[in-house]
Amino acid sequence: MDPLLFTAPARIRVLLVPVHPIKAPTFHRHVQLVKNFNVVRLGDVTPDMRGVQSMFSSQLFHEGQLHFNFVTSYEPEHAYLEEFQMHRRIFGVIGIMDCCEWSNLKEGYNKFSEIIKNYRTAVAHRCFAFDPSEDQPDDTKGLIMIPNVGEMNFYMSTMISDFANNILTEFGNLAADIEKRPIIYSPKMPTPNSLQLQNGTNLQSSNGRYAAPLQSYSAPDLKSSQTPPAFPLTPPVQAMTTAGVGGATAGVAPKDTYHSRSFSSSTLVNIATQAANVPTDMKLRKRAPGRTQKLIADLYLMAGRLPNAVSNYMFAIEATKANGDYLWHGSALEGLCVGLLFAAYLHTDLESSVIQSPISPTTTDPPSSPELPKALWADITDKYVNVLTLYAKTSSSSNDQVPPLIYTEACLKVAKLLACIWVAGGWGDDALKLIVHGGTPEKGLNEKWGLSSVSGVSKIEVTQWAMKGYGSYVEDMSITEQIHITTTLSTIFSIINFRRKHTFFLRQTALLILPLIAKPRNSPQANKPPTGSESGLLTCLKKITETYGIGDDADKTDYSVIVEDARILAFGWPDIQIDVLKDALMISEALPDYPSMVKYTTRLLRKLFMYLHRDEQVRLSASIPRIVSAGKKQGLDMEFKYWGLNIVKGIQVCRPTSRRIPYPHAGKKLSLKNEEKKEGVSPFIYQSFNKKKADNAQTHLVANETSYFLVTLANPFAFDMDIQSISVSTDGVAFTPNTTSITISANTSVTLRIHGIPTEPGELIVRGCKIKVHGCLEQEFCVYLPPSDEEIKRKEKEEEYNKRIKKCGLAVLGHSNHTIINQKDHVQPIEQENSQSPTKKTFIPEFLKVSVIAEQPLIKIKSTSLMHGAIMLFEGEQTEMTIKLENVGKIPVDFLSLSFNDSTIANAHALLNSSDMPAEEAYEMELYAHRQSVFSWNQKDNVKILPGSEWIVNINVFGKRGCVNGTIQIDYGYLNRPNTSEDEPFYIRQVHYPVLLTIHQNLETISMDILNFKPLSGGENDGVVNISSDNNNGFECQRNKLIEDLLKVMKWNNKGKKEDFMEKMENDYCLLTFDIRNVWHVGFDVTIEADEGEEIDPLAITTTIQPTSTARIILPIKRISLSEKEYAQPIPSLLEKQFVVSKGPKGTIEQERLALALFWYREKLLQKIKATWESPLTNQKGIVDIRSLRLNKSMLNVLKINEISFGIDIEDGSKVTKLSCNQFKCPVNEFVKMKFVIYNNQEKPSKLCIRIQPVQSYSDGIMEWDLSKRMVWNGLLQTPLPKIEPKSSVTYTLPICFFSRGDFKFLYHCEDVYTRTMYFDTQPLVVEVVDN
Amino acid sequence: MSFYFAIVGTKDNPIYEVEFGSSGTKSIGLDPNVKVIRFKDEHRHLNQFIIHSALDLVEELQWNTNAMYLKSVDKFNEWHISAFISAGNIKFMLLHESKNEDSIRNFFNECYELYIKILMNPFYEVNSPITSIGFDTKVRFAAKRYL
Repeated sequence: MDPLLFTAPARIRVLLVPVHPIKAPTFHRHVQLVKNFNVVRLGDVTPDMRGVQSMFSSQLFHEGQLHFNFVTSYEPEHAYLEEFQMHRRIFGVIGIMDCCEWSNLKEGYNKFSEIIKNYRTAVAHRCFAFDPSEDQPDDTKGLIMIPNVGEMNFYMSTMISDFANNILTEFGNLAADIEKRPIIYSPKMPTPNSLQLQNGTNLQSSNGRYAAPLQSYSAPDLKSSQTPPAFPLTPPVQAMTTAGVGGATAGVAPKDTYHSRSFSSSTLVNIATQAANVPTDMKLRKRAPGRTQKLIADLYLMAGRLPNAVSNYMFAIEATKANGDYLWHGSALEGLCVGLLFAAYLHTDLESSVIQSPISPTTTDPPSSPELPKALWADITDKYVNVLTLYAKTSSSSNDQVPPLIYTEACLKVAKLLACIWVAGGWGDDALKLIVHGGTPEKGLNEKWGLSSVSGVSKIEVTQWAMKGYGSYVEDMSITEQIHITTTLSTIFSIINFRRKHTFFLRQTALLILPLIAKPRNSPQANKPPTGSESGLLTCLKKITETYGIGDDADKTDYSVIVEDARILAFGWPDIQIDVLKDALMISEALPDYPSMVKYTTRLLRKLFMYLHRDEQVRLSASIPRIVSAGKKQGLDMEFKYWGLNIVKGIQVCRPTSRRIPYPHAGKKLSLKNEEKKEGVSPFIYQSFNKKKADNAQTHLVANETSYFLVTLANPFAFDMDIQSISVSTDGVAFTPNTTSITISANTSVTLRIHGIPTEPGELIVRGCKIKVHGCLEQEFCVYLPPSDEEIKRKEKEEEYNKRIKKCGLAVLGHSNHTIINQKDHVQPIEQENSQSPTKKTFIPEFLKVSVIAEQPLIKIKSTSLMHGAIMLFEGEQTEMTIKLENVGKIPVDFLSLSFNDSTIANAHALLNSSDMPAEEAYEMELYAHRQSVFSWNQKDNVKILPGSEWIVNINVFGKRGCVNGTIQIDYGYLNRPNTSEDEPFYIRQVHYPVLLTIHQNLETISMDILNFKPLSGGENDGVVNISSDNNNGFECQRNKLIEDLLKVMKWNNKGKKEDFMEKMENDYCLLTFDIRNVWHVGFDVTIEADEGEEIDPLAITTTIQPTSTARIILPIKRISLSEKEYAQPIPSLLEKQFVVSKGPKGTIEQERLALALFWYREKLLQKIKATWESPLTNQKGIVDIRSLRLNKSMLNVLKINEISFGIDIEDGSKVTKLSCNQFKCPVNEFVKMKFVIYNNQEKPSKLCIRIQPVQSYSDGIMEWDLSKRMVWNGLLQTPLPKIEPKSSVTYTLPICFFSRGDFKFLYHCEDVYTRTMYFDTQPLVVEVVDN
Repeated sequence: MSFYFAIVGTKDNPIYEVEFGSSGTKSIGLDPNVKVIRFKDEHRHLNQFIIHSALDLVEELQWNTNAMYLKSVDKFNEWHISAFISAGNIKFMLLHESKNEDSIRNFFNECYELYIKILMNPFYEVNSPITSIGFDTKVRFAAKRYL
């Protein structure tokens, strides 16, 4: 029973002692049974057998009740108060005996008799023998057999009533004794000196262990200089006998010799000074009557004789008041209050009259009865205010000083009384029941807001009373007393729902108990279940931590999911939290309870690591394995999850080395083949869109190949974290992870590469990492996405809501928990809540999805034909290289594709893109970049490289000007796998082989020209009879010589016949000349070939060009005829690039046309000519670049065959001589027929008009236009011609007669009548008119 | 005479703490330095606990009055706890030895003004610790002036 129950003074304390041997459970069972009979109505008390009517056993006051306080332990510590407060005494002893344990009950009784000798204050004793067997005779005197059959309750109540009677009788004797005493002393605490001697050893041992946390909190001025420094609070080591612990020890023996107390200075001083003014006997004698009255009143109160008690108290109050005996006055007032309260409880209004007017006790029916009960508690509190003042006065009197315990208890009693009233919802029967019987009240609705309008009692009032009882003097009390006080305080605050205060005192209690439970560690009691007090203490710790915001809820959250630190704006006071957790740790260490040690250590680290010093973190973390091993030694299951924050911050698939990357090909195999063909044409490997794709492409893992993952781990703590094993945790396809271990140093993050092997194709889901932190269980850690926008919005909303409704303090804690519970109903299982942060956070783990593809082959380049991967070539040289491949994978390769890249392409592209060059230049550049590839390859079919075998690839290399390096890319794969369809996407891998190239220029072509050699063709083959003359002969010779020379120059050695040449001249040939210069230091044989078409044999000229010399190449080329449609088409572009309007200066239409014509004729020309070189020394071969040759307008005029061409002839007789193609010699004054043959070379008929203008030219260059007197002609000089069919001709004949000698020129042209295009002949007609 | 002043947020979290003692107390003891340090070290934690436990009373009292200044709300041994509560439920708690209502009221009002200024800072979040040095010096100054 609670010693601080308000009605404690009205209870008779009876000790229940076990008569050993008895089993603890049996004892407790019987104790409970006996406790059921703690209230005995006075009317039921057995009348005295002896017939002696003592002053207490009168049955006048039938409503009265006897209240027994059955206890199982006794604190002799307070024995000095027993004279002052009678109820502290043990008035009766009841032995509890288990008959099953005793064969001879008499012996048992004897033992009981021994026991009761220890309790001298006990006035009555009984020994109850429970569960007697049949054969045990009920013959022992004094022993009461309690049968376990029949009307046990009735029997028991009878026995108790009898016992009560016995006590009441003895009360009479006691009272008589008291009345006889002349002097009654005030309670004095035992002197410390004797105690100190007694406790000498204890003191030594306990000092070191117990650093009292409260000790220092007494105000400094109280600590007088007299205090010996080596005399601090000395806790008794074994004096604890609370009900919980007392199971085993209760009632064994009095513990006078064990109990110990200590005093701090203040008490010491007082006691020391007490000696100086010991009150005289006279004064005490004078005070005796009042004190006697008070004591007797105490007895009346216990005896249930309330009227007598009240009146005696009244008398005592009067008497003590008169004497100024404050202590006893106060105590009497206290007693009075209890009496009044009891009266109220029993609904006897009789007492009220006594209080109001003791002179007229007959007024039993006061008119103010309805108000009375309400007034009573107020009255009691008022009285207690008085009591406290009285007690306070005693301290000044230095004599009869109030023991601190009495003072404190008075305060706490009132506080508890008020708390009971508050919780019961007001003054009434419920409240009274609580007050009288004690027990834990049910928390009513009243607690909601603490508005005590109903009850009339405010929490503040309760607190004020309670705190009054917790002064600095409390520290001077013994540990046991302190524990009592703090537990009572925490109970009171718990009742009025002051959780923080409650927790505060609960913590104090726990700290006070701590030294008591510190027991030797080497006790061999392994694996013993926690005793009642231990589990109680642990429950206390749980409660304490909860209030400070670090309760078990904190552990429920899976902290491994927390991404960010939720420390800011979190609930609670970090400093306090640290303290509390350290206390909790200390207490669980003292028990020792290893699981809670681990629990609190980890919680401290996790929640508050940012507030802890580095050393402390290190110490705490180091202690965990120690605790675990200690716990394991005890056989406890000490496995626990990782307690810290999430370690894994990120995880990603590591990109394999370039040669292991599989490139996906989505399409079918057929489409691939097309693609490959296309690739053959265009050597683009890195097209812009391809590149992008490659970068963004997901990394694929290959089955049965080691894949790597980059994991970023972070350690927020100030100690190194030892990760015993870490491996990738996956879902989906089978995966063989490889574990590794690492130590993350303090406050750092590391990126770790861990690997594993997926064993089958499919989708692999990388969930996170499985990590086993040293000392913890293996656990999976995932990477969590930051909350989505929606989530954040919701969070903010909730936060706003929290702010608005102003939830504060512990309500916040409750609120956050509440939301979590609500939320769990409709949230996916993956989501986790952070219970600590009041705004809940939702975390979605981020899983990495990686596709695992089927096994892939692996190839490496074993060797090449190159030295150091470098090759040196002449420009245009063709050579071959080989690459030897080896299959180092496990499956065959059946697909091989090569693609190439070289350094020129990028440059050309850059140039093309940047500069705004003319179209023909651009075309040239494009041609250079793309048509001439450095590398080429003749694809072979049926590639099959089995694992371990080799394969040789031949590659042609071309010496391309300006190229410095190139790359050979080999794509390979295994396509024709069994059990795969055509449509399935497949993967290829690549091997790259870089080649260094050095290209030397050996030959260059310059200075091209095209000459018309039509003028050279003579008239010998035009059917005109050649009239030999000197002139003619001379001319002929001259011409022949010219041709000979020409042929010599041309080095036309193989077909060097003049006839051939002449024939060519006739057939619309022209001469192409250009120089080839050898810029190298070795001679080259150059062969130029002109291919004119199918029917004519190609013409080839071979010449050796010596170093640094130049060779002129002269080549007859058939003139080219292109239709307008052909040469007017725009210049093509090889790249499919976007059309851009040319920004350069735009020429006139004619210029444009000319440019186009130049381009197309040049293309045609270059098609015809092939130039190759050969080095006879080194056997190198190559191509001479002739594309550097450029055409201009005059060359074009020679080269091209006009749409309309002319042929001139002069007929009539033999007198006309044809000198060359357009030169004639003609006699004067004779008619000649001048024939103009007009050929239409076009594909379409044309309608033309011819104009002829004859002029006479003098040798000095003057032209004579008016020729009417010099010549006549018959016909029109300007006339339309008949329509000329395609590829045919018309002849226009103009008869002319020259009158005058001299040179005449005929200028003529044709004009298309539709298009107005003029067509001119290459040369004018010149007629030399001579005399006959 | 020493004081302990704390501003407590709505989640029982301290947002500002300061201790100040008048110079007189330090001279006690043979070795004042050691004593003061020891005193502080042991004391501070208990101060916090006392303030924390007094929050119960503040929450109780705040409904009974219109005033923000709640006067002395609790007593622990010979220590008084005075409290002041802002409209936003921010509690100003002062642990002191002697009762001097007027000066404490002035001190609280001054601190409240300062707190309001802090609160007006757009970068300050309610309930987060006040780290402003200016605030700290001003509070100390106010303490010197009024306490």
